[in-house]
Amino acid sequence: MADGLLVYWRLASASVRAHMRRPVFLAVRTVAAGLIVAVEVAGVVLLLDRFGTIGGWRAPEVMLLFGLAFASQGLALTFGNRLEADNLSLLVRKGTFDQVLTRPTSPLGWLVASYVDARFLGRLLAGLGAVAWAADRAGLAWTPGRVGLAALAVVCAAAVIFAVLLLAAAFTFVTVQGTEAVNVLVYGGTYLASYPMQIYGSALRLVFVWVVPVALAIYVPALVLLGRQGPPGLPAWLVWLTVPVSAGFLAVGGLAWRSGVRHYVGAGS
Amino acid sequence: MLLAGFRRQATYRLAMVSGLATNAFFGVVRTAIFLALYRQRDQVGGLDLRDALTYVWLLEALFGVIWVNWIWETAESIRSGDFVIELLRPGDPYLRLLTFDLGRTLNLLAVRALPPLTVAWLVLPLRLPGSPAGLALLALSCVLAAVVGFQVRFLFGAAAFWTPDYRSVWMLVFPAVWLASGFMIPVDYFPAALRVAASASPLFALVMAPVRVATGRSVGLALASQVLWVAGLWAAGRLVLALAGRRLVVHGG
Amino acid sequence: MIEVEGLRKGFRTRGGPVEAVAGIDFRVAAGEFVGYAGPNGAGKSTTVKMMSGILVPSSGRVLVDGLVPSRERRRLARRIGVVFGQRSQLWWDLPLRESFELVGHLYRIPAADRQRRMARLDEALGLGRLLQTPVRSLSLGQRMRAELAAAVLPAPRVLFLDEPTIGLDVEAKAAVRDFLRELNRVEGTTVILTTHDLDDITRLCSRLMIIDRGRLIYDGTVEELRSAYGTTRVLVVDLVEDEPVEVSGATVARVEGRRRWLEFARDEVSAAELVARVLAGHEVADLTLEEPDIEDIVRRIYRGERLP
Repeated sequence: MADGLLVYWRLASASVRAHMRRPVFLAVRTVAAGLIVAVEVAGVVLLLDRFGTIGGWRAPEVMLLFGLAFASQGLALTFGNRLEADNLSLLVRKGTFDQVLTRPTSPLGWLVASYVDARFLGRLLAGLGAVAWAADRAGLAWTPGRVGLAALAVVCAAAVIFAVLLLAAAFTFVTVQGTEAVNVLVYGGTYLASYPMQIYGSALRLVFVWVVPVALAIYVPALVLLGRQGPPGLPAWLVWLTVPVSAGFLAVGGLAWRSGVRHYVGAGS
Repeated sequence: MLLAGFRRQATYRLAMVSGLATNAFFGVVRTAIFLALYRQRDQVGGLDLRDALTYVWLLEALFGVIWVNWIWETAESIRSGDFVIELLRPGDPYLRLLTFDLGRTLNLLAVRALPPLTVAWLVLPLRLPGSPAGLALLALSCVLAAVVGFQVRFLFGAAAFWTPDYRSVWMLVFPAVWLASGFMIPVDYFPAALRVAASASPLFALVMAPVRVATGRSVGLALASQVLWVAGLWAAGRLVLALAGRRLVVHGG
Repeated sequence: MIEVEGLRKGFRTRGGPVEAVAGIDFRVAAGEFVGYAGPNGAGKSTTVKMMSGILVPSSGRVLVDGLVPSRERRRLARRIGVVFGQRSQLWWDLPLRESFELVGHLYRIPAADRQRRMARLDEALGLGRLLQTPVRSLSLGQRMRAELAAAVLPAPRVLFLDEPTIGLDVEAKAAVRDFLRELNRVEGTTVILTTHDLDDITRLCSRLMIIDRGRLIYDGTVEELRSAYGTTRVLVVDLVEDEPVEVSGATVARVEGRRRWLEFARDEVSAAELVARVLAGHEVADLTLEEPDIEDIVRRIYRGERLP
């Protein structure tokens, strides 16, 4: 097991070394990624600054949601950016994935390790920064329990997003082409989860709490952190379900991935 | 090859549907956000709820028209050298490219922009012009937005004349473009200095000007600025082509 | 080493189902060097991808070195090498040396073994100077030698090659072919070579399989193919004097200066007899017997000519 993990570590460090050999490219990408983060944060800050509250939540409280959502998206994409529809579809069409399948490793492990994308770590850090800032402004003292809960929220939401990427990948294996619609769940899901759930209609709430449980993993822990009660049908005690439901969804993503690889149609001759 | 052809054909339809779904989803979420935001305010930054909802759905309607999926076509043909042929053909290359692009874009306007806007107009209290003349002006404004969209994309694509890493140029500038063109939040919510700067830039013509025309605030000014930017960017595009043409001659293609 | 029985693979497309491989049977013994040819879209790559564990067959059975590729893909991957001519399996931005180290780790080759084997591969393929160069800066010929080295570093029992000489110049082609011949001879590696270059096949392969529209249409040696299809042979005669030639049993197919190409049917007249007849009537500077062009034969097979 440890031996197996070592291989993936070596793959990841090879990919980092490869990046290091193109310093200008790396610098441009990093700066660009940082700018996008800054602009996205600015968008939320400007909006909250103008309006003050939304759905009865004050700006720092919303900022907490945004920070958790942003951080989990960054975490998921650090490892899963290559699974994103367009990227994976390119790997499939170029035949790169054919070659991955001839390696004595797990193809998922290979893709995750070989394409670890440090640009998205900036997103994770910015998200965590937003969480820290929001907690400070909301007068939230950091106890070990709260730190743990925030970390749990980020990890669980990241697992859900990663599972969405796995589902999308399975789809790509069969159709060869990626589809933009999947990005709705990855980017749209975290966008939606950046605001308190009570502002959405019941259909959206149902989908993002129970079907693609990204809101369950972000909003419900935030309720507990802020000592708030959720809207009807979304009580704070659901926090106990965060881990099992996210894990279950991740398992579904894993199964879809497996089935996708079995139905892989190749790059075409 | 046949297989590839089939897949390609299916892709276009799939891309169209998934593009529509994406825009619809973001439209719905943004609508919920603005409905909640305006619950305790009547007007913010000069926009009321109806203005904001009009902004949301015009944004979603124009999104796929302005950030088209052939965004790198010009740059790639410059890199591969095919573009030289474009320069050598008789007639004005800029006008030809613009016309061709506009053809595709008008198709997109009909397929991708009209349906979500129509549905939103039926369901939500959007502020769209009531008179045929007003609707015609809005249509004109949307077409002008598409033209400016092409012109902005063309200028960034033309970076490929000077650097093989044209995508990096785009990546560095894109965040600012994103914010200043009002693709994230309406420019009206910006602090004064930023708002003035964004309003004076060609990016204003992409989404914010059509929103002005739709909601009936300073319609004339918005349309005039769009026309002005079409002309200005036209001149810029021609200048770039002239410079690039000279460069290609000097380097012998 | 390889057993394929009733192998099929269908794809669903918008135009309806397409059967890329429509029932194939063959066995390859350990140490064989098999050429696998066929026109574009005949099902070559699909077959190879099913043997190497990339694609799951729709039906039928594949066994490679006793393993079912689709079910024991990772175990099989340790025992096979795969080289796709137009794609790199090396780490593009890193010095070549690092690619070999990574392959060593991936296939759990002890460092000492790796170095010993690298030294031998280096000798055979002349990689020494290239080890510090990033892969993207290698020429195509250099890269292909590196790809081969990476693929055989784990000492695979079976090597699948897809167009390994495509785009290479004459010298690089020769280097690749020499290496493969030696590998097959010395290590007994079973090689399956997919190629359009029939020169590769005639120079390397003891056995040739031709696939068309998903079915095997030929499986045998190159010589058998020649004798089965090549019913006519050509005797090239260089005359001392420029004079008309008439020999019974042969027709003049081509004239160029003092050179004559005489076409004859092998079952009507033997080459020796024909030579005797030519020498009886003409003064001859040189004689050569041309074997039927394998490329020509394969082209005829592709066009639908069946075995006579």
